[in-house]
Amino acid sequence: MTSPVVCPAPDNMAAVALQMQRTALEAEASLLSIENRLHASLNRPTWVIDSTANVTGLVANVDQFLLSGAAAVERFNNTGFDLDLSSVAQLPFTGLWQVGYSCVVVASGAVNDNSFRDFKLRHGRPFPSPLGFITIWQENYLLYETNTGVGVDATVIAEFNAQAGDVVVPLIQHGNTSSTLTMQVPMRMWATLMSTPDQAKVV
Amino acid sequence: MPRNTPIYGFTYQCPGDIVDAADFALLGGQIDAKMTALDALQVRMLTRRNTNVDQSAVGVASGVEASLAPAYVFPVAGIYQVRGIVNNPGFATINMQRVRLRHNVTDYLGQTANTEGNQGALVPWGATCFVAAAGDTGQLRYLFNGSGPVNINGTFSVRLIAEIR
Repeated sequence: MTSPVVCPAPDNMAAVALQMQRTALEAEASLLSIENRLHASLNRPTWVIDSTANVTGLVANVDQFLLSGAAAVERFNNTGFDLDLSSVAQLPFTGLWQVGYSCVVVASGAVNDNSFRDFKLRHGRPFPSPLGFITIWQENYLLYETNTGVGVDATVIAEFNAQAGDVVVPLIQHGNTSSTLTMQVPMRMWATLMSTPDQAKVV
Repeated sequence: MPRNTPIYGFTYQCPGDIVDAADFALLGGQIDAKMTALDALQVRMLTRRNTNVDQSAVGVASGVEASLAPAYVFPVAGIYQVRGIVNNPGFATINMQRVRLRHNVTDYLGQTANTEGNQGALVPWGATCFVAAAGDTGQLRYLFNGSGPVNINGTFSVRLIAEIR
C-alpha cells in the first residue's frame, strides 16, 4: 500500500520527516534483498583445501584415504561452515555439488610397469552416526603407471546430488605390488554448490 | 539531527527537524548510487568471467616440461575453476604425456596419460581450483616421454565461481 504523499509545510513537518524515514528504510530493505540475491548467485558456496603432508605407505589392492587423517589446510571457504579437516570433508548444504581433487602418487620403491591406479571420489551419507557413512555414489578414474619416473597425476571430478552434511572422500586403490605408493603434497580438493533444490528445474 | 539507515547509511530527517529539498536530494542521490552499484553487480553476475584461451609451445623436447603461452591473466580476484587439455600432436613414439596447471609459479597436478603402444589411448587433461588475485597468471604445463621435439597446442579454460572482495 502506498503512503499518501505529504507536501512539506510548517504544520506537518513531523509527518514529512516520518515519511522520509519510512522511505529510506523501505528502500534499504528492498535493495538489501536484491543485493543479497545477486551476491549469492555470483559467489557460489565453495571450499578449497590442500594437503600439507605426504601420505605414505599406500599398499596395493586396498581402498585407502587420500586426505582423511592427513594434514590439510583451508585455502578458501565461503560456505559459512567450519570444515572439520580431521575427518572427511563435508558438503554443508543440500543441492547439486561439483566436487574434485587432483594429486600425484609415486612409488616408494620398485615400480610395476603399467600397473593400475584407480582414483576414486566417494559421496557418502553419515549413517548410523557421524563415525560412519553409507556410499551414495562413487566416481572412478583409472590410470596406469607409465614407469617414466614421474609417478601418476590424476584429476577426478564429479557432480553429487547431496543432502546437507553428506561427505566426500578421495580414495585410491592401486596394483603396484612391488612397493607402496606415496601421495605427495599438495593434493588439492574443492567443492562448489552449483544449485539448490529451491531453484527451478529444467525439464 | 539527521539519522542514517543501519546498512547503507541512507540519510533522513527526524520529526522536529526542518526538511527541505536538499534533504530529499541527498536521500534520492544515495538510493540512486546504490542502485547503480547493484546494476554493476548484476552485470558481473550475468557476464561471469568465463573464457577459453588457446595456448601453445613449439619445439618441446622429450623429458623437458614446457609452459604453453600466452599465459592467461586473471582479471579480478576470485576462485576460478580451471581446466586444461592438449591436442595430441602425433608422435613416432610416445610413452607418456602429462598436463599440469600453473598458477603464477606453482604447478597444480593434472593427469598423466600412459600411452605406451597406443598413441591415441588417452590425451591428458587437468582441472583444479585457483585462489587467484587480480593480475595472477595461469597456463598449461606439458611433459612427454617419447620421440620429439613436438609442437603442442592446448586450451586453458577458466570459470569464475566466487569473487574475493
